[in-house]
Amino acid sequence: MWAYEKKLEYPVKVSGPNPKLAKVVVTQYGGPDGELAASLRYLTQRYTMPTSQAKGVLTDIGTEELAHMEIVAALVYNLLKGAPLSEIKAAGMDGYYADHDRSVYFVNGDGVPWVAAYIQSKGDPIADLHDNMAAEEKARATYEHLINLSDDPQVTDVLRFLREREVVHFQRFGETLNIVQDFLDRRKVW
Amino acid sequence: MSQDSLEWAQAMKLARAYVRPQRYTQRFDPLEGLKNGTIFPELVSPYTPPAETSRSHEEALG
Amino acid sequence: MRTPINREELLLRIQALEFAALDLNLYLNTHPGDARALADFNQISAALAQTRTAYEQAFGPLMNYGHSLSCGRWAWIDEPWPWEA
Repeated sequence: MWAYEKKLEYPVKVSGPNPKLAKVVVTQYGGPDGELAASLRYLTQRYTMPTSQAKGVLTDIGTEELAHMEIVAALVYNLLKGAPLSEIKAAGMDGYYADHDRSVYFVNGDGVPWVAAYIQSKGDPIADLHDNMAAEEKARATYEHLINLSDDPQVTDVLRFLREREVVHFQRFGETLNIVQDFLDRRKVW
Repeated sequence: MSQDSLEWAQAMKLARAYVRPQRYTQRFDPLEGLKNGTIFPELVSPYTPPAETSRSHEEALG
Repeated sequence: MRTPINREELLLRIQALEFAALDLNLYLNTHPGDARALADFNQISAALAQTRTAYEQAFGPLMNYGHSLSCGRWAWIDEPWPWEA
């Protein structure tokens, strides 16, 4: 089960309201390679993983992704907070504002809402682990794109943290793949 | 498989992906680790945005 | 007289310690036999517990569902929440 710790994994500060930046950053909240997709993917795959290591890895990384989701939400919330309507309109966020005001919602950078098709749980541990490794690379690439777009150094600092976590997660999923492949090989022998 | 590289290379099969396992040797102090995004120096992977992306407010707004 | 503790500083220390524990936790999941990593994890976890106790005594509970004590009054819902300034 989950309990909640009343702090962010990494501190979040923004330099000021910035709806144009919020519009793209939100894709790591509700987009195809964002933190909601990552956390739900791992947390739902874990039930059918063999080996205790794999169950541990998927549970713990899935939980960390929830913490990342919270960080991205904090970024979007603070980038929209106090933003005047004129800036929201100039940023092309008027459609978003109509439905959500300045709240945080699960959409990608174009306002397309999150969908379960973004994630898969194949039930085949090899397929699932490769899916996860790909997901981490896509997330890393997306953070790089966001870093390229960001004009707020405080936001960029947070994006760099989140990007580095994807690199570490890839390493862990790769190690899990090694372990699971080994395990399945040995099981076949018997 | 063990951590030995040669044993690894000999045991690797076709149609398989492998990721070299990490071996923990040293770590950052906690605050430095947090700033780097990992406690392990060997996993730090810095990103340099391409030259065309500008830090200036106007250019970034397009 | 108690030395005034800076809330932000203490919270940053907790973030740093918990992050170190988290990264070691992930490493240990794929290297469960690594005794040195385990020793480091335990050392950091102990430091984290101490720092959390100090924080909670001054600023209220960090966790819900009975993981933190709430003495005197129900401080759990107090502002600021993590996404606020």
